[in-house]
Amino acid sequence: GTSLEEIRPTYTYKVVLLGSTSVGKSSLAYRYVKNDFKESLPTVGCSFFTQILNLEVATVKFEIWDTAGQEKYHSVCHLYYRGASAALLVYDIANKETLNRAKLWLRELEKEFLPDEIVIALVGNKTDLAAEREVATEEGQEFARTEGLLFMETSAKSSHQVDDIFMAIAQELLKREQEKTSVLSQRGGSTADLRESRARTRCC
Amino acid sequence: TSSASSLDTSAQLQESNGQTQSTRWDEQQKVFALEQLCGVFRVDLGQMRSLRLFFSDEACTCGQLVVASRESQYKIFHFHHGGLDKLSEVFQQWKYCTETHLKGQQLADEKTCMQFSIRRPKLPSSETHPEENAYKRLDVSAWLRHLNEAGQVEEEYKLQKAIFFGGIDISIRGEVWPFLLHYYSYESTSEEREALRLQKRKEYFEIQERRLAMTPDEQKDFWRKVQFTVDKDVVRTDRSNQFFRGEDNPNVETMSNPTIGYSQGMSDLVAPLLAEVLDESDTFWCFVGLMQNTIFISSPRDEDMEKQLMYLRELLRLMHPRFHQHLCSLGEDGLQMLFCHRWILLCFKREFPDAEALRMWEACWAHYQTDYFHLFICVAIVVIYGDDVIEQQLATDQMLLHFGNLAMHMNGELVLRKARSLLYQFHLLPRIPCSLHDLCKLCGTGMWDSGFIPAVECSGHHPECESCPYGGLAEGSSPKPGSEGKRGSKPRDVFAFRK
Repeated sequence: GTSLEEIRPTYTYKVVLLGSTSVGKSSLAYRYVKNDFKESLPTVGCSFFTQILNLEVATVKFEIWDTAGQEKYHSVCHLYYRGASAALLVYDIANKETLNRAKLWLRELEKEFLPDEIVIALVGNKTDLAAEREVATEEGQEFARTEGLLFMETSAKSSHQVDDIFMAIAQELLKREQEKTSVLSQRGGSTADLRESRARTRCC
Repeated sequence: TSSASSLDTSAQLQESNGQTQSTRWDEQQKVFALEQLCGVFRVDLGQMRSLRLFFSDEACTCGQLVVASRESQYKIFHFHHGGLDKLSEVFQQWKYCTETHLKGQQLADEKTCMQFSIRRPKLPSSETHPEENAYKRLDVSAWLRHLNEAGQVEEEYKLQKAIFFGGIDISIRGEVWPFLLHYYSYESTSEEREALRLQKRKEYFEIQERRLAMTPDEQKDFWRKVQFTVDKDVVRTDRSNQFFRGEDNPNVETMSNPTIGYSQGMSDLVAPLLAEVLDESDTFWCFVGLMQNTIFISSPRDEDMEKQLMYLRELLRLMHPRFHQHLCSLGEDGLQMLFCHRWILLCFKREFPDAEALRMWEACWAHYQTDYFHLFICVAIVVIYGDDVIEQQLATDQMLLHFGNLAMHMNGELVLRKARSLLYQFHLLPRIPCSLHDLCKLCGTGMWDSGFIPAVECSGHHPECESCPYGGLAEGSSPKPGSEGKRGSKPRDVFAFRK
């Protein structure tokens, strides 16, 4: 049989979903993890999903933190995104206000992380509501470009581009891992175990 | 092959006894990744509903193993070359398994089928409240016995106790809940209540008129801020409940009444009220009562939530030290107890099916011996379902996943019974730490019904600048430097003692 040591490396990443209430954060997570759509209750506190991606070069394990859009208990907010490797800033293309809110979330993240510490994706959800669209694709795209974010429009309901955005995030994270490895090997370090480089925050 | 899969499941059973657990998580991820490639079926048998063995030969070695999940999904394993007998022995020895004898089968000589139900450990009778089972559900006739001729509740404490242990029959919830929610006072007569209802109905419609009389600008603003969220959430709340079913349902409009401000989750709380109390105005005022007079309000200020969590941490330290120790080992993140925030914010509505969640609400609203019974329920959940957390040394996020997965799969009746027994045990403590002093102070009749006032001792968990009124009472009189050091380098006001 195959010995476990021979499989590709496994990377574990914490991914947080951020954005206004009712933009579809939980639905995105649910579509991605269960490939299904259902009317969901508003999130209270936060919930947690895992998804394993088997890619050619590595196995990626996403720990997806789904948070409440309206969090009254503010002191925990920092716990949601602490130690995150990636963040999805979700807005509703049929509600302009939610894009502004996503911009505010970006400012929050910038206070907390250096640009190379976290992969951020701007996600315009609910493309199935094309008739009620308030935010042009170009507007989201342009904002993402100036801020250096990944960008995609999705529909958790119709499953449009949901896998794609998570895949794009995985690719970007792996690209960054490789850049780190090459820096390490230039320094003369032997093959470091990269799983440890993004060590789980067990304790502070 | 199927036999390989069955080996895998039985191996899992034995594996759960030993091994250093911290390395297991990472190892497991590798195994999972490999398994996903090979299409291996893997479940935690402890989370299943039942295991059934169907034998196809006289020796009971071949046949089928049927694994049934709680959602009634089945997985069938075929044993063509023996081994099923060994498996049944393993199941018979497993502590979570109880063999259920099928009707009419006990007497048959030949075994054709065996069924095992998966059970979480039951409470030994020594761990239940001595008055458990002494109360039946409060029904109409029992309720009427609590009222005197004028319609006043004769003995508030007696009624509260009856509700705490027995709950309220569905048929009279609409009648009794307004008392529990401080809409009606216990001393009020039937006549006074009728007058109050009329008065409050008038006030309610005045509030509605004010909303309708808003200028277009005000209304626009209001819509953006409140109505949008309310409508979204209302549509998402309890639409399976008959009361809220159907488009253009006037009962849905009722909830869009934001004079107190709205926060996500409130609709969760008000929906059952509306369904039981039925009248729009009455429901509104009951809800106001719920928000004002109970602890588990759904839009808590940070301080409220911090206070709840502080009490819960202290209760755990007292009643489940091993779990508390585990939280401490995780540092500040662990002590924030993210896994139970929703329990407290929505009072278990998302953790248990409605019928069980409402029993818990009633037990909390009864305010029997404590205003914080919901925290005893939290401890009960941790006591009953938290063993794996300690054994496997689960990290913060894994704990979130562990308890998240338990939602709607826990035994609410068992949890409630355990919570009552925990309250009883708390009652028996010879002394309580000063941090929990308020836990029994706020309650109307007092936590200790026989006039017993517990000795309070300083637990020594205070920042240096604050002095504890109980500092001189017992051995922990001054803050111990050792316990300060444990808490990490950044002291946060989460841990501060508030008066």
